[in-house]
Amino acid sequence: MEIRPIASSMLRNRTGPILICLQIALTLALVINSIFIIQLQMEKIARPLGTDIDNTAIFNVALVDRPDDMEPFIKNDMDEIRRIPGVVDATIIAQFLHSGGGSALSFRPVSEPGDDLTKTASVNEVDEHGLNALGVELLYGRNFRADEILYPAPNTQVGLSEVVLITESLAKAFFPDSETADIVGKVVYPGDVDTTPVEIIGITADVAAQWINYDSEFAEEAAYYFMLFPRVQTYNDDGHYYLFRTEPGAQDRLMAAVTDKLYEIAPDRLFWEPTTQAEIVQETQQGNRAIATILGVISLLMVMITAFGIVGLASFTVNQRTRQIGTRRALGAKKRDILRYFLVENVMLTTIGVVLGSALAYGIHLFLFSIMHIPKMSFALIPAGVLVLYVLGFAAVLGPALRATAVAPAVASRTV
Amino acid sequence: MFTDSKIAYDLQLALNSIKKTPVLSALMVAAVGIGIGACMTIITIFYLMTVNPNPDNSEQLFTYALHNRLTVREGQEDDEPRLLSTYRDALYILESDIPTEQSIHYQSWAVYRNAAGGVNPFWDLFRLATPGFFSLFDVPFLYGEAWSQEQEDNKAMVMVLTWDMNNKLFGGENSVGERIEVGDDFYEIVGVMDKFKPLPKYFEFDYGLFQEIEGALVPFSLTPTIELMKNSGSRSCIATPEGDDFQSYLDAECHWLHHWVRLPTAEKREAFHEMLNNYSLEQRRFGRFQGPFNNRLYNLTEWLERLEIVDGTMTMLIGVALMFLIVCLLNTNALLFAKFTGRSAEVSLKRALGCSKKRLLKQHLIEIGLVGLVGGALGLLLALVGLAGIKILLTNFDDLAHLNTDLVIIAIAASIVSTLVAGLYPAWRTCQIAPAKYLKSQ
Repeated sequence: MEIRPIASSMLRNRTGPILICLQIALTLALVINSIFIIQLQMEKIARPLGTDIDNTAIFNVALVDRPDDMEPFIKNDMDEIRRIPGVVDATIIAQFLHSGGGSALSFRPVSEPGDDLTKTASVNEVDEHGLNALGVELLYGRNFRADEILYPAPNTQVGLSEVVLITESLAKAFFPDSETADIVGKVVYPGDVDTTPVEIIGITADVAAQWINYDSEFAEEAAYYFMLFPRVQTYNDDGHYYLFRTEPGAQDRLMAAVTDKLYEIAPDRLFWEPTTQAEIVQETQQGNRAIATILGVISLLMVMITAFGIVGLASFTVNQRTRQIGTRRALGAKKRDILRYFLVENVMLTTIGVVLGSALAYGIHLFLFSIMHIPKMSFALIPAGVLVLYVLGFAAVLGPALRATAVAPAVASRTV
Repeated sequence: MFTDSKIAYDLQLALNSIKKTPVLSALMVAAVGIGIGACMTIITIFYLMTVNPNPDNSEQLFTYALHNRLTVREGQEDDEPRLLSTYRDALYILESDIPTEQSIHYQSWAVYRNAAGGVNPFWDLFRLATPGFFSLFDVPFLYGEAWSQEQEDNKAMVMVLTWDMNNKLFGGENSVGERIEVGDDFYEIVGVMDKFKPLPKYFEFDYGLFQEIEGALVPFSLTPTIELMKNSGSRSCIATPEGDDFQSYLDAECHWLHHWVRLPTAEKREAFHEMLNNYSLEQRRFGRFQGPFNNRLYNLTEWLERLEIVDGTMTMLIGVALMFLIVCLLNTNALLFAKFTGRSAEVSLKRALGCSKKRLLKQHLIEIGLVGLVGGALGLLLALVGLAGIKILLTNFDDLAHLNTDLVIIAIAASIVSTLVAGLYPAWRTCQIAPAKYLKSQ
């Protein structure tokens, strides 16, 4: 191999090669870290949210003139919605689900305020049809009974109800030493000082908390801490929320049908942007998608620029060395020797670049690790990135190198 | 001819040189353009997120956070206090004459029922605020003015409309003096705001920092009368309210009110902070404010930092954009080296004919500057494309994703300067060539 002559040639004309090496190193380091962050965002987006996202819709509605007693009015609304063919089930609900915001409450599994036993969970409120309307499976215990549902008067607040449904993850967090089935019947205590217990009557499959896509340690730990209370705010200044689940494919038709039905019951009804759960989730995950897209585009551009840089430099070198190449050819070097010269030179440059780049990639990762809530990077990404840059460098230099092989031996004897 | 120092001639030379190597030049312009484009896209978002929304008052505007705790657990002594104020704490501080102006405000929803001109009843945002809201945050008025302190104290049924609401209800006409029914009450309109959109909306962080102020505003003192709960934004309670009536809602240990004060002098600032601590101490008798005091007073700048608008993710994106620009400049740098090395014979000849190093360097730098200028223009175009892309990706960023004159100047200047920095060494090296060296061979 002609590593030595190539090396000495590079050393003599070192600025160009150094710049390309640096460029390769930076590209590798950034692309690896970008791919890592993109993977994380995709994983976050792909996490199950636990409810039937594709077939549920939420209507936030209000009334210009509301009746004094809202309870029968709401129950009638719900019955009418449930009676529409194609509606699987419906519930009144306290607030949007999976919207990135909402209420949260802290509970502790012991009556005395403890140190680290308090868990904060995302909460929502539904009627006895809530689980079915959300499409959430009950794993242990029982659902709310109709007579357990509280209907507080408009714009009032009541204390907590006496029973609660919690997710499996939250149950295990409260009582890590118990079998999940045995947690049914246990009690938890609200807040910092309150001593009124709330009984866990059932444990459901996991439902995502509102903060699932937040960038924090707490959000990771409490991603599926979620509770349902049998209590529905009948009316507030922001109206009330109806959630219903439809048979697959029937959503668009049924959203119109439910709207018509609600207008029919009360013509002075006001609607605030009826939305499907899918739309809400799409909007909540916007940030994750945006980060992934921005990093993806920048990585792609960077790889392109680096490839062009390699092409540009190689083309230039070939042009500049036309006489040298001719001389070598005249002295008996074969075409493939010329080709090999440029390819080996490129591999050497790439090798220095990727060694520097791998170290830099790790350094950047450590920095990101300190400012963002991300796990440690898997090292498998580094060899993959290195391979990509070798292929890239090879592909970029091939064109100019092939052009070099076309230089005729006679060029050497020509004078300019 | 080489002593002719006309700029036009140098530009001609530079253009000739660029034309001679079209592919190399195009690659350089593309690299600079793409680098500046990507950088400017991210920096525009960053700039508009972090620019001081009220620079004239930022040293005088303060908000506080009282560290109200009913219990103290181990390891929680140094917790940061909750950001919003409770109703009773806010009312106590409102009585203080240390601040020259105060704004307490919160947002909810209401049905606008008796709308003028046959507009159907609708449902929109509704805000309660003390009149200090308008003076503290420099709210511009189109018609009329804010309600007076006297009207605030007397719980007058008066209202200020936002620009949007006035358009919706009165088609943008002067509506001062009109009466409209909102919720269960009639209000007299005393003022109409002009467009008002500070970015970020620093005085209210819990309902979209980059969203417009909508709806209508009425005196904060009406809160117990019209019994409007905060139904928009954050309300966090450290104890369950005692009853289910509205007074219990107000008395509850819940943090929900935004409270800003103007403290024009250092003495006032100290006096105010001392007043907060004395108040906390006194409240201990009622079982509140347990543990050490972590009461905070933030001026506008500190407040924006506390909100962490620029989080780890934003820092990461800025870092990536800057490193990307560096890669693009390294690329340009390598290409310039290649190009200038190829010109050795020409440079050598010029030197032999008496052209000074300085003059040659100048010619090279003009050429590089030209590449930077064209690259910067391309970068601006690409930044526009990038920002359009961001608008599609993040629908809430509509107002953040636009270029202003400052940013255009920054982009062009950054492009030229960074290209010159990248090209200075290659150009200098080329000009060191001995006059006769390249004349001998070839």
